[in-house]
Amino acid sequence: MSGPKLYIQDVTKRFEAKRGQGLLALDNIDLEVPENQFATIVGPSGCGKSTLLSIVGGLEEPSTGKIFVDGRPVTEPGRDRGMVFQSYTLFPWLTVRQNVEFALRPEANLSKKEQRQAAEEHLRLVGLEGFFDSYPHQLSGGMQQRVAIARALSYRPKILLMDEPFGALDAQTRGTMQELLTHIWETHRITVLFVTHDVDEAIFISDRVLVMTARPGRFKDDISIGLPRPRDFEMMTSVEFVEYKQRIFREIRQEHAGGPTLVKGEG
Amino acid sequence: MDGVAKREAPADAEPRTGKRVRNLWRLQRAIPAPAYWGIAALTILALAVAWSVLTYGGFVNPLFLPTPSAIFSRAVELSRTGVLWSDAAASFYRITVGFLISSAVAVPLGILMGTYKVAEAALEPTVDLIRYMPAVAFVPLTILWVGIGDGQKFLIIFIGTFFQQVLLVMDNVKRVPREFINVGYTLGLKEGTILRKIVLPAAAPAIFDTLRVTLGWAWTYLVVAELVAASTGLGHRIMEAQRYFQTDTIMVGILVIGILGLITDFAFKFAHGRLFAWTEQGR
Repeated sequence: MSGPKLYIQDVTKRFEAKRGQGLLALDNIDLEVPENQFATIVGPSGCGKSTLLSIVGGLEEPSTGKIFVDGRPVTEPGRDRGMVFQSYTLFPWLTVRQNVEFALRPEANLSKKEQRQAAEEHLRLVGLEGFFDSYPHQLSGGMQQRVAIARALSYRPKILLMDEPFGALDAQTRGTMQELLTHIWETHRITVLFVTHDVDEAIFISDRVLVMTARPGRFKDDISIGLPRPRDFEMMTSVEFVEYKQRIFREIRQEHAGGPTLVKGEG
Repeated sequence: MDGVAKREAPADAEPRTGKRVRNLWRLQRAIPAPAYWGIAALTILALAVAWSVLTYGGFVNPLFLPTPSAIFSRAVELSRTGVLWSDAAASFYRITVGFLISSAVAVPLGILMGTYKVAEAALEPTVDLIRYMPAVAFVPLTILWVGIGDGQKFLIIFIGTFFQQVLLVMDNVKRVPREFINVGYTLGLKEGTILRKIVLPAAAPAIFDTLRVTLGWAWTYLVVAELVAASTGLGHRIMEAQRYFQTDTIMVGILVIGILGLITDFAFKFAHGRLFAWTEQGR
C-alpha cells in the first residue's frame, strides 16, 4: 500500500493577539488518514478543530507545518478537497440543480449536458429527486445541507472535509442526515475528515475518532470504532457504543475541571 | 393572557373588538392588510381635511397656503400651456444623466473597495472626507468651473450622490457572506471568477436598493442646483414663482417632484422584484 491519502504534518497555528502573547490554537497536530477512511475530530467549541479543517482546505495558513494530499504538499484550496460548511452556503440566486452545476462548471471535459446529468445524479443520491428547480429559500435546513453535500461530492474530490455540517439542524433532522451520510459513504467510499462537537454523531458515522482538547488544541486520543457496517440507529444503544461514548466523555472532561459545560457549547 | 383569551373563544371564532384593537398594538406584530391601508388612507384624509379647513375657512392667508382647488387649477393651467411638461422634462433629463454618471462610477469603484483592501485604503478615507463637505456649498464653485448649463447640474448631482453611493456599495459588497467566497475557493475558482460569479450576484440586490435610495437624494441636489442658476426645470419654476408670490405654483412644483420621485421609486421596487425574485420570500 502507498502512503496516507491525507497527511497533516506537525501543524501549529498561533493567533497573534494585539499585545502580549498570542493564542496557540493548534499545537503540533500530526495526523495520517488512509484512503477511504472516515475520520472524525471531536472536541469542545474553541478547541481549534474547525481551524484545522480550514487549514487542510487551504482556506487558512498554518503557522508551521504542512498538508499533504497523496504525498504532495498543498498550500491553497483545490478541487482535490471538497468542503461542506456548517452554515448554509448555497447560492440563493441559483436553483438546487444550478447550485450543483456551478461546482461542475470548471470540468472542461464534461459537456453542459453531462454536467447537468452529473448534478442530477448526485442530487438523487442525497434524496432530492423532485426538488431540482427549487430555490434554496424554499428548502428546509436539512435539505439545503443535502444539496451542499451533493455539490461537494459532484466533482469527485479525493477528500471530503466536513465542518459540523449538521450543527445548525434540529435533533430529528440531524439523525436523518447522519443516517443518510453513513449510507452514502458505505456505498460510495471516499476519504472523509469530519469535525463535530457531538460525541454520538462522531461514533455513529466514523471509522476513527480523534479526541481534541482546547488551548492548546491537540489530539488526546485516537480511537478506532469497531462497530460493524452497514450501521443503523439501533447501534447507538449497544454496549460497545456506550463504552466508546464513556471513554470520549471522560477524556474531554478530565481536561477541564468545568466538566459538562464544556461539551455543551456551540449552540 | 393569550391562553385565557383562547379558552374564552375558539381559535377560528371572530375575536372580540376589544381584543382585535389590542392586537393592532402588539410590538412588531403584523396587522391585516385592510387595516394597514385603511390607516394609511386615514392619515392622508386627515391632512386633506385639515388643509381644507385652514384654507377654505379663511384661517390662513392664501399667500402662505393656497386652497387645494387653487393649486389644482394652477396645475391644470401650467400643464395646458406646456410649462409644467417642459420643466419636468428638463429636470428629468438632468437627473437621469447626472445619476447615471454618478452610478456608473460609484458602482464599480464601490465593488472594488468592498473586495480589495488596497482599493479601500486608497479611496475610503478621501471619500469620507469629501462626503462631509456639503454638496450645496459647491454650487458657487461649480458655476465658476463649468458655468450654468446642464453640465453644472450634472456636477452638483454627482457631488451630492457619488460619495454616498460609493461607500454604500462598498458596504453592500462587504456584507456578502465570507462562506460564499470560501465555497468559490474550495471549488478551485480564480479570484476574478469568484468576484464575477459569486460576489456580484450576491451583492446585486443590495446594490440595486442603494441606487433606489440614492436616487431620492439626487432629486434634492438637482432642485438645489436649479434653484440657484437655471432657466428651466422644476427648481427654477419654484424659484421664479417665489419672486411673484405665486405660492400655488411653488406647491405645484413641489408636488410634481414628489410624484416623480414616487414613480421612480415604484419603478425601482418593481424591477427589484422582477430581477431578484429569490430575495422576496426571505430566508
